[in-house]
Amino acid sequence: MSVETLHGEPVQSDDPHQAFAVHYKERKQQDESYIVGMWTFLVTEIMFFGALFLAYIVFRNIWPGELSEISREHLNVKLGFINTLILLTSSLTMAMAVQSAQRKIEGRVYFFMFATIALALCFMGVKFVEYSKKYNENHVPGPLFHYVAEGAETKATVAGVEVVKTEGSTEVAHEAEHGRKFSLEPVKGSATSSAQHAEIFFSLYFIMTGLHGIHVILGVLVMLIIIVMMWFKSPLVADFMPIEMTGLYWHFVDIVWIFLYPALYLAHPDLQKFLHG
Amino acid sequence: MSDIPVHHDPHSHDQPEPNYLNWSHTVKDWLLTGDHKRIGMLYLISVTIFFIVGGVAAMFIRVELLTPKADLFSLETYNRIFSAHGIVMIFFFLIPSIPATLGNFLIPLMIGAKDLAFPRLNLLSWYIYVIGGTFAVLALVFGGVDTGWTFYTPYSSMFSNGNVVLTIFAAFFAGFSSIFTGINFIVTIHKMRAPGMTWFRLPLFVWAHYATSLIMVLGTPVVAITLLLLVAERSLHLGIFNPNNGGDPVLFQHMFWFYSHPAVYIMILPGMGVISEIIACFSRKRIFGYSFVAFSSLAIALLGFFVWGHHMFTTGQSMYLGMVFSILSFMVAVPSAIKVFNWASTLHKGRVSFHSPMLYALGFMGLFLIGGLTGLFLSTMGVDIHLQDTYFVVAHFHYVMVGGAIMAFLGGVHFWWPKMTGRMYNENMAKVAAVMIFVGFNATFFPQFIVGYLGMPRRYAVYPEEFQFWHILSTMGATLLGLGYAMPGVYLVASLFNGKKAPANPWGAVGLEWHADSPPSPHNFHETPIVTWEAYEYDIDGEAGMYDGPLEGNEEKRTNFGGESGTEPAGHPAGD
Amino acid sequence: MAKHSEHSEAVVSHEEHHEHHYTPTSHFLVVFGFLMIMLFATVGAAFVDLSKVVPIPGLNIIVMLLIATVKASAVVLVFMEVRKGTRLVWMWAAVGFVWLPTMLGILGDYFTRNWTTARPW
Ligand code: HEM
Ligand SMILES: [Cu+2]
Repeated sequence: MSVETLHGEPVQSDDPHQAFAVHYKERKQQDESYIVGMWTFLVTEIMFFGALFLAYIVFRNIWPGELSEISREHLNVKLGFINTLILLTSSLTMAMAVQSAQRKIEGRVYFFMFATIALALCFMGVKFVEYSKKYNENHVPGPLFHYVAEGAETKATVAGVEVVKTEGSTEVAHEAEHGRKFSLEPVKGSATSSAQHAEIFFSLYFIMTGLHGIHVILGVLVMLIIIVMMWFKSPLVADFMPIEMTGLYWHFVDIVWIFLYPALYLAHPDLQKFLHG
Repeated sequence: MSDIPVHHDPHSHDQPEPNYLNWSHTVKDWLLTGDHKRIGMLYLISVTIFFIVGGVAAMFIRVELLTPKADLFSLETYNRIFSAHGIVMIFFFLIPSIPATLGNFLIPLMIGAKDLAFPRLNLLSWYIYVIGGTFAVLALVFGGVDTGWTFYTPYSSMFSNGNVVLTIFAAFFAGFSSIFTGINFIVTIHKMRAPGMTWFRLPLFVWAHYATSLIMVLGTPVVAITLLLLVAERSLHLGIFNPNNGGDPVLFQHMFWFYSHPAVYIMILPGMGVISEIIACFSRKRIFGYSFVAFSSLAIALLGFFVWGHHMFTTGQSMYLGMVFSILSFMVAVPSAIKVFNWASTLHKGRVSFHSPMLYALGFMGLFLIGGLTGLFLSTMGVDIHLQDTYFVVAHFHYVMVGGAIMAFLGGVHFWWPKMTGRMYNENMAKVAAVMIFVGFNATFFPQFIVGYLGMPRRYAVYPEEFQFWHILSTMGATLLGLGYAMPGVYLVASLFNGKKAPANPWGAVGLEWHADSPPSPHNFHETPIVTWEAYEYDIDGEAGMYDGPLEGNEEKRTNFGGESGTEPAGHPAGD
Repeated sequence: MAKHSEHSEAVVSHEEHHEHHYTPTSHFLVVFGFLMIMLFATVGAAFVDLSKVVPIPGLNIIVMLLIATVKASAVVLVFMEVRKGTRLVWMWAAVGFVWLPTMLGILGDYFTRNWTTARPW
């Protein structure tokens, strides 16, 4: 073994499907290591998104009525449905891309990879429509956030640390002064959601879908890179493993959405709006 | 490090062999290396730097506490100093210390592999660590933070005016670096073992690192997302953790401790692995109850995930839930105790010799025992109501983290230094340092149990005058401790220049890593080893062979390196 | 590495040794169809107030999340080819889904917070 062969550098072989890095004993060991490694990484991703779901469940549990009301008023079930459809389909095309790579049918690999990318872009397009609507309505949490609850008497603006002047929030401030009781039994008073509820809901909505969207974009970038490398016949993508890895990642992104859709959009949807809106 | 002369291993080969240190000297070959041994050394250098940074902060704290008034620093500065100390020590020293240096260096050697499964990921994890470290240093230079290492909301998200965001990103990056290390170890231990190296032939060091990696992979993402939420909350004034905006600060504590309690096991488990190796070697006995020790590592890792609530007894959680967490915390102590008992039984009737690594290991056993037992005091709800946020807690976790994890780290560094650098250090100095550290440590932290019990709260620069005696004692101890820590820095570095050349197996130990040259060749072994012997097959009556080179006879008997790497070995490890 | 698992993996293609075993397209299509049906089931479940049928509070969201779990399992098993994976892949595919509920144990606090009263013994 020459010292100059760097660790991790692949040993070239006539058949790219048989090449493996110097520190492995055989090709099979390398393949399995990659797959197990990817799965271990996905485990960390599960815990990562899981923590966000936890935060969401906590607040849904504290204000079941208010949060589902906000979801009902402001999230578009139809767009969410279309996006779910798109992502599920993209999982199918991705699975086909991996299969074609395993069968070494290069033309099909290109086709299905491009199809997956196209679907991913559609998904992001729909998200863009949704996000820009919320942006125009000032529903993006932060300094510009502005929310008028239906039926609320006072308008409320949440900016910085300022105490909000809705009915609910004075109660909050009052209860917060009197120790921890607030977080035990939060304001359940009015059935109408206040700006606070809305800001928390939209914070979680944007963080959850935003992190998911970042994962989608990263997936698209990785696929593009692989396609370019395939086009230039790079030995690094000469075999199916990179595509298989990307596939695992992509399906995971799909799975996250499978849970996000019912959790966020289907809290308490409005049938009339869905059918006619 | 690059000026170590080539050394020829007289035992195995006539040809001068290049080793991982000397085969190339360019900066590029170090900074772009995939070699787990070089990356381990890079980590060793970086964690040492952070240890010094954190240590300087600690000395500031101790000097300030000499008097009951805040006369050296303002209260605000004092807050920033203890926060810097905690953040640097936990995220940048203790968590990566043993896994990323010794683990990185030794796991492939111990299981007979050429490298970790993903060498480039390994390098990436170091770079991410360095980026995180740079953020931490920048945050310090810009004035630091005053939140403490726990970043409790809403203080950190709404009120603190330090560099919270920068510091959080520092911790976030450090977290990702440890996730990558964890993934790498898990896959390596599953897939890269040499022929014949079955799970129950693995050194306990490797078992401990497997358990640690599980925690890294399962816990770290949770704190990562928690810290992200905190950054979002701070920069956009969201309300997730802020009661003024309807959020729940206790949710932050839950998510934080869901990682951070297991994280204390990230710090201690690898140390326990180190201790198992050292105790077995210097008692010349197989570890008593090998499989109990192995499984107790896994048990600690998994049970450790169910006790986070013991940090939150006073947050208003119901007392029934408190009882559950209390009982579960007692249960975690069981596997820890199993380990201590097994080490003690290993010593019993062993041929114990007191070389410097062994002194550190014995120190570990005593100090960890005290630390663990006081943990039980704290998990008792009624007692904790009194002791929460006092110096008693400070003393508890320093006994486990400094007396435990750092003792183990130093013991491990001393044990494997000959392997890592090819040099022997000054053994007498090492013994003096070990004793100084042990004495200095106890002088520093035992008084803190007492002031804590008397009611001195943690994180204050001012205190009632009647506590001053204990604080002076503590600062004196800390001075001794600091000198003790400085000593290895001197004689270990000196050994690089004038140390005796180390034989392949200076301690007569039986692990696979001792079959490699000292320092190992770039690809670790000349041929893929085939393991036909059990772990810790020490011969209690045999030649100890200390310092006199490897146990020649034993080496022949125990190793079968004859087979070419291509041939199908007899004992094939199980496929997982 | 492991010889024994190699055989158990050969689910589909036996013809060629060099050829990687791949899942036939038909399997993917079946799963895709199943996912579509489940998608409609989820949306359907959202519009019916199930708690009125069976008096369990929050039954809707529970049913929807169960359906989501079934969908996710189909994706994991077939699209992600865990079905043909080694035992090790099975294990790691399960770990995350098994461990997530542990973290959801944090919710235990929220459900027990107001168990504050204790009667004297
Ligand atoms: C033997 C099992 C252990 C038990 C039962 C235990 C129990 C506890 C308890 C109940 C507390 C909370 C005290 C309070 O805030 O009122 C605590 C704090 C702490 N423990 Fe342990 N512990 C154990 C082992 C360890 C180990 C091995 C480490 C580290 C290597 C560790 C590090 C810490 C730290 C850092 C804190 C303080 C956290 C903070 O508030 O900043 N513990 N421990
Ligand atoms: Cu703890």
